[in-house]
Amino acid sequence: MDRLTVEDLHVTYRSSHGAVRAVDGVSFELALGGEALGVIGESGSGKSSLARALMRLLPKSASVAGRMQLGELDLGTMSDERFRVGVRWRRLAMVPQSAMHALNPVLRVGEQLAECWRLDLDGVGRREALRRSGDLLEQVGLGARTGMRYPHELSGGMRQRAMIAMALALEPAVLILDEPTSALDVSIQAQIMNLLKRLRRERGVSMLFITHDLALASDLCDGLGVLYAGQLREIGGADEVLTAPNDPYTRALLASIPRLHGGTRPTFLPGAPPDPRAPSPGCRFQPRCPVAFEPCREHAPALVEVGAGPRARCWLYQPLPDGVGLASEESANGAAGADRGTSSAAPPGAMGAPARGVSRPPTPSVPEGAPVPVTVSAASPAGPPLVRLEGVSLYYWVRRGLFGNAPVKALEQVDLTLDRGESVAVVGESGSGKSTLGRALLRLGVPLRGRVVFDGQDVTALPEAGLRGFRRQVQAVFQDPYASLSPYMRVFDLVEEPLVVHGPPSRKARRERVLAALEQVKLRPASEFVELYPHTLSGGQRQRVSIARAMVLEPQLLVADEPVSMIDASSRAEILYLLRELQEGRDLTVLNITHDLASARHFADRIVVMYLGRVVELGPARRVIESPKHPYTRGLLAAVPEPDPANRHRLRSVIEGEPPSALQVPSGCPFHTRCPEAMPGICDVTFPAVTHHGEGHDVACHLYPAEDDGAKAEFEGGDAGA
Amino acid sequence: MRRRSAISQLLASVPGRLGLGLLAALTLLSLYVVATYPLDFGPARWSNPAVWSDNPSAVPPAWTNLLSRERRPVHQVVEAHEPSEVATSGPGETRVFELTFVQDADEPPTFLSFTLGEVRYAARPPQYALELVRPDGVRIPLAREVVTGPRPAESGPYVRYAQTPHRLLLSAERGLPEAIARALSSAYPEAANAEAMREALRTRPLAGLFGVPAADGSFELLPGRYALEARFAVADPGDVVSSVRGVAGGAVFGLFGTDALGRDLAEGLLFGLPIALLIGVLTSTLSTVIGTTLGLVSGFVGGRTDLVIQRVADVMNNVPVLPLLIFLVFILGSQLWLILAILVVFSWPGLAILVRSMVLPLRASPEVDAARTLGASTAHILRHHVFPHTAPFVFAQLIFFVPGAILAEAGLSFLGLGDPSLPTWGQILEQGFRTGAVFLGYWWWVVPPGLLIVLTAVTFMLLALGMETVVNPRLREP
Repeated sequence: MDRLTVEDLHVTYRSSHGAVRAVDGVSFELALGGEALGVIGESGSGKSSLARALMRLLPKSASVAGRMQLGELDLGTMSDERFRVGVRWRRLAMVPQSAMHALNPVLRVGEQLAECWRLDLDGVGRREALRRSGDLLEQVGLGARTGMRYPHELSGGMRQRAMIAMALALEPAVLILDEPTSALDVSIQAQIMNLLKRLRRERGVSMLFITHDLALASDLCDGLGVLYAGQLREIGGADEVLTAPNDPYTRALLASIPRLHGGTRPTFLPGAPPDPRAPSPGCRFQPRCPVAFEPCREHAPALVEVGAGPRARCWLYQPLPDGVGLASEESANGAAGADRGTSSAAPPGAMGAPARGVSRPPTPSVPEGAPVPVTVSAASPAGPPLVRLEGVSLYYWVRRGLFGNAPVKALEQVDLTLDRGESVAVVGESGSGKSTLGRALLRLGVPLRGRVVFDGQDVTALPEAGLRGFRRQVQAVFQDPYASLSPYMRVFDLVEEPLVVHGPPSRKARRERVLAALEQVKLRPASEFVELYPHTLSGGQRQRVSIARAMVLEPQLLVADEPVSMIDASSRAEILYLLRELQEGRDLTVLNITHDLASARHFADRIVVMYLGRVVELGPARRVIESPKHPYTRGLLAAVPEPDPANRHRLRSVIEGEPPSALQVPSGCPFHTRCPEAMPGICDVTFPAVTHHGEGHDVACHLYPAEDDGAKAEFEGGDAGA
Repeated sequence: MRRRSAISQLLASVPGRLGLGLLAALTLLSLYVVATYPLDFGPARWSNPAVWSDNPSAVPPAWTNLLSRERRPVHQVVEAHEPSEVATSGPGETRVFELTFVQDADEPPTFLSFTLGEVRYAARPPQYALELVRPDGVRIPLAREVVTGPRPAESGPYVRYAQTPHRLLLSAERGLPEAIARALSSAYPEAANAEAMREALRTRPLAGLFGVPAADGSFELLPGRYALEARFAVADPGDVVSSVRGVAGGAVFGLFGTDALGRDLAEGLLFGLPIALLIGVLTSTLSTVIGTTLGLVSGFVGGRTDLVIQRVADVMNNVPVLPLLIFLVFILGSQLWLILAILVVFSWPGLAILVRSMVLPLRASPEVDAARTLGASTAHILRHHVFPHTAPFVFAQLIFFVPGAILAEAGLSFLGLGDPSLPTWGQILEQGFRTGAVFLGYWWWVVPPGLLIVLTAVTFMLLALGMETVVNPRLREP
């Protein structure tokens, strides 16, 4: 059978700071005719360079070495013109990450699609090409009429479908998917994954699926390759890689995925990937590896077969190199032997085990490996709640036409209380109003109706001058530490800034507090970090600077808006543990806005589910995850990818469609347009009353008819349980 | 600490180093000029023809001799305050001043002049005779004069030539050709053709003055030491002849040559430097500060403030500056501060509009939201979270404005709108063009001011390049 073969591929970028070896000796094979290979790597691992090398889309500063063969065609030596005419798009097509930027904003989608045939000089007429584009759009689930629309009129998911259709236009043998869903919501992501599965089966197109998300790759791929610092760490069948990974990095990645079920808590990898300009002579993963031993520092391991399992790049599975000191051989062998014996069964918690030269990750206050630790605010004080939102509605106004303004109903009648010292996760798709909820709490937006009461004080309409006390007590951590930290300030200035605004006047006192705050977020030694600029830090370190900045004033409420979504998967849990530790240790109230239900389960006391500006379900984290009441919550849970080799054999049950625009919120229950259990005549007429299901688990859904007295019930949350 | 690290960052880059070096050189020169030049340099010296009367007009710089095979005579000025020889004659004295210069060029000097400084006498005006003593021993009488006598109703002691020295252009004296002919015929009797010699001397007396007659009536240049001897007969030993000066006019002059009025261009160009820097730095600083502040406020505060600032900026941006300037100069007279003020007033709006457009996306940025949640005031946010993002652009603008302002002033001067009391590079250029320097090939008059403008501009461009890493830490080497 024909194959796409990549052998010893190197991609090197010339830069003023030296050569950057983005891809360093990667080899794999992908059978044509419907095989799917997942390439998993975190930022900087070289996964996108790999995709671009295959498509010849690298910039001029890059040089490529190695063999790339597609069937009979040698992709490496072929002339650019032959590649353009014969291979690109015809045999190899690519779906890029950001469909918005890949589509031409001034051409209708159908016409862009038709260009695939028209430009290719196949003698396809305009009418025929448009007909074909209509067919193809139907196949990717868009409907032929979508062809008449412009890209900006489509949602993110629809654009991605259009890109997939475009990639399939010339029936390529291999589809390269570069993070095709990373900008999409989980429910849309699940739809796209289902579509890819279907296309793969129906059209027999092979796929190279490039992603940072191991769980997502397990949804589609037969084989998985794990990329780290430009090298494959491990490659093999999906079953083996997912169930019996050999490489410590793969194990760490797997263990870092928060699970919806089961008792293991996610772990994380301390540290950051190595500098690609100055690779160490040894194993690239060694500085972060929990099981690193004698030869790892000096000698680079090869990618070798490990029994029947996947091939791995680790000294645990190969004869040690000559010249490794005999004196230390015993201990090295001992360590290696011990690990060899347990390698396949090594628990993910191993990542937390202390190892030579590796700093032990901060242990959360809950012991490692303990069953789901979340308690339903058992310790929550009986005192008054810290924050109360009462019927808060917040609209944004957008200009419509010449004269009109239309409201974007970002929040509608939201009631929520936050008790002191609890951690509440707000989940929902984009456009659900969860970020607006955070902004309302931070008083970055002024509600149209309703009240925000903080610590007994109504702050809804206070002018900025009257908010000083409030601002001091309520701090925020934003999604993107690149954007929320000034690149022009040193870490010290960044963390000091809140103190300059509010804090102690003396320079010395400020310095002490800054250093203490940095220590608190485990940027140690703090004195080394203070002089650095944010761009020299890794994503995780940057986010910790954000947290230090928020914590330096010792606030009572911390609003964290997607604090880990921009951070590499293997480091996410580190931030979440840190937030949890701060919350428990200092009686801090945390509102964690997230789209990640699985991590919400592990790190929050309560979960609030939002849809189109409404709170639809609210309750203790465990109850919401284990016995979700609202069909929307159930749909969201079903869409969460889990690393399971069985995934690829079945389609996910997903919520159909996409959330409607907040400009036109459907009547009644806003979810009725997508709800599998919608009851015509009820759901589309009135918004359901809130029903209580014990332990503070409240749901707004017509499936649970309210008692007479409950008709006017509001979300009470923690109060009901207490 | 911050300032020092900024300078070390600037020094780390090649353009930064070059720019700082050039700036230091320009600044030192400017300081030198400010310290040594009189405040009224313009009217008292530059625009005063008497000061420059001893200079040759429109001659190239002296160093051009190095480039050409022919050696043209260098401008030589010899001054004496004390007589070299004093002899008593009766009650009075004879004082001899000897002014020597060397003639070794391939051409005779372009002129010979004598200037008498202040003279004080008790009663009888001193008389003096001037003679040229040549290396071959021939003495050629040049002039005989008497210091201006007492005027009616004036009483001694009499002071003469104190304000305006008395200048004699010896080479243009009417009797000179005859005097030369007589002296040469007696010294060189073998030079047969006396008639031809006289004829030649009438048109080129200097060739005879500094040459030996040849058989065909032409002259052969006589190199060597010449002395201009001034013999004063004073009636009273208390009479004072304070200074005498002899000038052998050159065909090349100084470092930068002279203009058509004989002005030393080096002096004018040097004086133009601090003025150019002042115009450039002051205009760019003021207009950048105004433009950036208004742009930041306009973009960040929004609403009515934004509307007002932007409309004013639009209007200012579209006012035709040149006609307005000509009009204002016409009414108020051309003054440097007026030109500066107009340049400032009309160069901020562009920056304000640009900075505003940079601020608009920043207003809703996570960084600003984060600062708001800290409780930071608008001023704090503008200073720490908005301005730094515009800083690379603003600093580049600040620095690019400098050559712009210098060029604008040069352009205005070129149109004759410059402040005549302050010679600027633009004015020197303008005078060069007006005199037709370009057509006459007087390159030394127009090229150096142009190059100096370019050099100043390049200095600031290099600084702008070097500043990039200072204002944007992301560009620094990790």
